Amino acid sequence: MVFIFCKNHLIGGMLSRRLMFLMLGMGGIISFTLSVSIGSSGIGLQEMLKIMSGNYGNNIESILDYRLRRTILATLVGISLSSSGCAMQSLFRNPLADPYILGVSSGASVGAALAILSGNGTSLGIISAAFVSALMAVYAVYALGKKSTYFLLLAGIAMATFLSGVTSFMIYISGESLHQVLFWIMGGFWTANWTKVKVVAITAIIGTAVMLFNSWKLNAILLGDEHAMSVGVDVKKLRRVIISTTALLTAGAVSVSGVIGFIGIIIPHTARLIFGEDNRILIPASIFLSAAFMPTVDVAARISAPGEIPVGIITSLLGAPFFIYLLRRKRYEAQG
Amino acid sequence: MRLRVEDVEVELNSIKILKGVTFEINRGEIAALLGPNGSGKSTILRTIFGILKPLKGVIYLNGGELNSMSVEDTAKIMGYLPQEHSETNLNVIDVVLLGRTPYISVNPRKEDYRVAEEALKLVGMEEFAERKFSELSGGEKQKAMLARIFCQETDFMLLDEPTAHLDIKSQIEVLEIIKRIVRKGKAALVAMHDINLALNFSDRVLMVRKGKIIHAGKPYEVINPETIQDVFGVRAEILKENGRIFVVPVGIG
Repeated sequence: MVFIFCKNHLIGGMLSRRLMFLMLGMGGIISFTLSVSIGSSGIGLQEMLKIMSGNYGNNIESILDYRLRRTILATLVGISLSSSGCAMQSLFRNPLADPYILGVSSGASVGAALAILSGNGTSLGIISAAFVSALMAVYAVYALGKKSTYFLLLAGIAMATFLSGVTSFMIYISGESLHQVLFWIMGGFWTANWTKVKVVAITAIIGTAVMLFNSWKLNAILLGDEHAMSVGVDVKKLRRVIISTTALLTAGAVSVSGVIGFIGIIIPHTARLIFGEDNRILIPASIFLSAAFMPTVDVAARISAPGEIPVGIITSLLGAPFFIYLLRRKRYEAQG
Repeated sequence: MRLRVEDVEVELNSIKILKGVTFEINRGEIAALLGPNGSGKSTILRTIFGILKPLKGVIYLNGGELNSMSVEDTAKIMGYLPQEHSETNLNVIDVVLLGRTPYISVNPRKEDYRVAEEALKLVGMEEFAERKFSELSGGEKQKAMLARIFCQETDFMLLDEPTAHLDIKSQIEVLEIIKRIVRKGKAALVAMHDINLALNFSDRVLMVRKGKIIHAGKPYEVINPETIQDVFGVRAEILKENGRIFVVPVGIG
């Protein structure tokens, strides 16, 4: 729908930016309501209304409590990954940059797996280990690939593949912890609890605040590093801040939901098609859009098969074709 | 307003790129840096702005030393326009507003928008404000970039080949705009390739070869077949018409 609108230039002409934000906000509310109302237990909207009026049973309450924390978790993870993707794409001036493609998610999952296997599987233990390993992965990728967009992409893919191998090896030798580690490979929200919600809420709020605070400087870097310096941006410092914040946001998301790929590409690019490249608008738009998108994908994961499908599978099925579309478009642009 | 560059040396990957560069520029002056590709013109501009740190030598602006200043502080007193830029789909007004970055803490204020609109008017592009930067022609982009640097409201400007890739009309338009601004009490150091444009638009010429300024002075005094041969390795003839001189390259060596 969005693509059809954009191709016909209806967005710019007929719908104001404010109206689009309003629509995204409504989309978020609908998505949230759907996510809390739909599940494999068959408890729906009516029961939810009953619980709000105080007329409910304990069983229903616990199911709705589970759905509520799961929905909030999905929303916060979506916000974390999409704002990371947004900032990385501006920082590297590369539309294909995303925490998943550049190996940050894989880096975080190695740390998380290590924490579980070494017996430090608390939420704080996992997120700390995930943060450190995500930071190491993103700096290694940046150091290897800073020469050009394609070096960066190749370094990211190589790093993601290598770190996936490391995680697989850990799963292989993990014995009894296998099930818990395997969770990171799949990516999903079925183990949602309020502790996880609190952890990812803290990283998401801090991380997105940093990204929003630096959105103007991220605009300056769109014209090139020297242009950014010429208007007084300390590019090295900005790069350190954005990369560290990306690692924090991704580590927070991965430590509670495993590796959910391509969100950092799908959401920012859809937002970019609607709102343009200005990070002051783009980052909030991505936050709104992911709040509408992520719970919906989670609902699809819950109802598309008996039991449920891990969300990571659905985002990969959606994201990989989207990535190829962007890659082809970039190639055509390069050929002029 | 006075810029003084004193005995500056710059090294990149253990190779000396600039060797003992010394010159000065005063208020109201346009100084043209002339020299072949790789002679060190861009390195001089990048070193003055502080992107490259000199191995030796000092750079003063109004008596104050520039070497130890951060880029954030330098951007408040000096504008720098690099030669190349990445493409962006930002609106023209937002590109111009980037010039206000040294004065912006988080987001631009109304006053910043007013200055940006004035700067766009100055280059005759006020009706382009809401257009996408990527959709502009080469000349329009360069004028928008000039508006960006004017928006920075500094007294001194470093411009790296602002007329590169432009047609002759756009080249003259861009240089006329620079001249108009400089005559209001500012100064500019402009890296250029076209000797005839340097003759017509600059007040002082600095001829660079292999990282050294080997000829400097008023354009009509400095530019002659010998200095052109010396700097560019090109044989040239000088034509005189209505009191003006024109350089015509006739051969190599």
